[in-house]
Amino acid sequence: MNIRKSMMLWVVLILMFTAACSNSNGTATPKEGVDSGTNQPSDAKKPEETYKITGATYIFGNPPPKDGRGQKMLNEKFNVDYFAEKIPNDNFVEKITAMVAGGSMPDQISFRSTNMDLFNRWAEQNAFFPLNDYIEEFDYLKAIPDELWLPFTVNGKIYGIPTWSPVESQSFMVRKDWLDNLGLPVPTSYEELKKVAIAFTKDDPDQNNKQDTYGLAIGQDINPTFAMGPYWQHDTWYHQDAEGNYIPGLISEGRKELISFFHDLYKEKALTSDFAVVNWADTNNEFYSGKAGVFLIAPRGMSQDYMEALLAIDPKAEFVVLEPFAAPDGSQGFTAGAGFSRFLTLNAKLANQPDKVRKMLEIHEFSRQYYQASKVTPDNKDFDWFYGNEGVGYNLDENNVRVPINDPASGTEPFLYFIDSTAWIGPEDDAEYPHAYSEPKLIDATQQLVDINKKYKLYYPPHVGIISAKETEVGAELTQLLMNEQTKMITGNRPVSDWDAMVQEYMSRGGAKIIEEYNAEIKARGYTERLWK
Amino acid sequence: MLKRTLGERAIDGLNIAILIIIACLMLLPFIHILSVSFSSLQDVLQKDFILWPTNWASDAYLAIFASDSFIRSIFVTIYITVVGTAVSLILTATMAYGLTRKVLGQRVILLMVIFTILFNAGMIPIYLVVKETGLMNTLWALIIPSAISSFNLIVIRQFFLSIPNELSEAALIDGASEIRTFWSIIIPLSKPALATFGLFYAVGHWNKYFEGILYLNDAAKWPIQVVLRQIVIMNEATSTLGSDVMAQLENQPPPVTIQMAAILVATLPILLVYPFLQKHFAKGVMIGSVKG
Repeated sequence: MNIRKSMMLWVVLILMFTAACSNSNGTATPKEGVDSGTNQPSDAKKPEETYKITGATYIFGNPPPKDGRGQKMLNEKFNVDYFAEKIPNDNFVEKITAMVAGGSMPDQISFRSTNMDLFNRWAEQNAFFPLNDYIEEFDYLKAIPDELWLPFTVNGKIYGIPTWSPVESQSFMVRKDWLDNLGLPVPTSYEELKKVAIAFTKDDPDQNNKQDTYGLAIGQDINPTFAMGPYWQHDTWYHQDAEGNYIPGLISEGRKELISFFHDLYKEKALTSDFAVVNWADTNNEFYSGKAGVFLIAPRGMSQDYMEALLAIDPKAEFVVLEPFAAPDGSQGFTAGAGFSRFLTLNAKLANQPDKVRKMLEIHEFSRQYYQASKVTPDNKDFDWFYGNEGVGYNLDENNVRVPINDPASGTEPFLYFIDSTAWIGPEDDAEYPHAYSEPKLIDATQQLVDINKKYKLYYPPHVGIISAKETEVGAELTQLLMNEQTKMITGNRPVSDWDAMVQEYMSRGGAKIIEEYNAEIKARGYTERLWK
Repeated sequence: MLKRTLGERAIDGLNIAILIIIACLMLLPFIHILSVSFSSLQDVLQKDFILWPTNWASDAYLAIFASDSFIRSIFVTIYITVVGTAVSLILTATMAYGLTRKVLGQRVILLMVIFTILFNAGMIPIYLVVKETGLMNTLWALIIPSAISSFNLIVIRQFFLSIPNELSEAALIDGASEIRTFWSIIIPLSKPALATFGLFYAVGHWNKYFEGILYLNDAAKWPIQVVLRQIVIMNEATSTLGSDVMAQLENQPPPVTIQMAAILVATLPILLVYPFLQKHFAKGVMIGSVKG
């Protein structure tokens, strides 16, 4: 009986095995176009071929349906059968991996900046189409500065087209009305900020005779950073070790100062008391409910809903944006943003279809045109078409700001269907961040931030776009380790004097190797002196 | 009936009181979600905890029901749940019944079923199967690959085995075919089992999430769980990397009131199924626990 059973098990196992093998043989010769299941037009007789262009990218929120009005307009305008699949951000990597491994890699993929390791791995395997020869052909590619091509250059070949994101830095805003009530000046150093935060906690800044306010709104993973310059910033490479190698901010002297600053505030209850377990949404709530007095402000992406809620709770609220603090080494300014957020890659199989590549780049160029909000009118045909025609897809408000008429899920506007519809805002263009909002106080705060960014030089860190093998392997784990230990230091569960031991642990668990790999690449790029511009 | 002492009654009273409190505690999160969804954002921000809305507001529900994608996805999920549960039950019950009969290869097939419990094929092989069978971007991709749960199949088979063989033999003598026996004898006797596993399958289909993302490329076909997650979940995972603050900010989810309303609307329908199956359920979960 037992023999029979085990025989049977073997038969099953062998069956499974052969099935698996034949399966993988089948994928070695992938069939194209089986996956999408769309009706492929067979009108090859037309003078210009109607290309079927597939694509995939990530999305936050919900995308429009496949057959919306905007999609039809797009296909008609460019004479293509275009489809860019939008994958929920959280599962983007899993799905795109399954698609590529399953032999249905789309013609174009727009990755997130956090997918650099995936990009590098596939680029090494020649999965992408090299764009070097096409850059001279397209003005929009020529406009991309050299340093932004660097992260996408693998073995001399350029595989990715970066999408614009602001270089302007974020800063922190303070409740101006509270400062005025207490007669305090706008802080210009951590010493002064500490005094302000403690006064916000103890001296009843909102004058309601209750101790219901405090200083800094902060959440888990010590976020936001409250770094008032690259000297203190944890996610940039600014400090150098004894040998002149750049080191990550998370283990730097500046970070140590910042952690002991937080520790002092924690003792005085001047920052979110249970910050170690507060998620990002709740951190926002701490500030926008009028409890905390200092919080993050970024050049774009602030939530007007939350700001309006705060102003309803406390109509007298005023905001002042902090300027960068002077660092012990004499520097003063913020760190520049990476300058790219997403990036587009093309499928290596397009090598024998140069005309299709040109078509794709032409569409990409179109979708990246920048329409300056204060100047554009519906007379601009491209603008009007892109946003689904005035009166149907959008209206302009009194400030000439575009207001969409429909929910994105209705699919009325063509711009919803492009793989990448982020405008490229060149150095000579005005991004007009305040135009994104209609709430005057939010506009004012954003304008303050823009002015501060103009006033100071920005630090351009050397590490952007570098991939270290060791970091891919253990980086996330080590970052979490440091975050946890530093959280303990803030709450007093571990003394700040243990800092060197913590750094040592980081080094021995792979940090040293990460630093070595980064610096090799930094030197290869020729980056020596810190770059401010 | 024996007269109980004062002490005994006091203990009973205490027990009842404690149990009621615990039951109420279980309800708290639901009440909280309900209350937040009917409050204004301003109230939610200002108060630490909302147990009952002070100012009733239906803005959140208006926002949800004005969104095409949300309504569409509810219907998609209802479709998947109804059709999927029917398909699952039919396939599971017929296969389980077949496996109770002494037919050629029955043991091999059973072994293969058990094999899939122990060893899962993994995401990419299943993706390939779905792709090559042409199910990609159809709702069937959410129904067929998960039509039969091996575990449920074995438990139902066990239940069928517990029905005395004499019953089907009697049917056979009366001239019933196998199908007739299955339909008129076995199924009526298995109602509790089928109701229980029907509920398991229904909940499973209602909660379909990852398959929706993996196999569907048209957002109009997304089930409610995918749409809901896109509404509710903020990208927390990247917060440790810090440098992504900008992306985080740019993709602020809608206010918490809308999130709560969405959660409620997405949970309520499947919650309502429970009371109707309750009477079968208590019997059903004990299936196979005692063999006689």
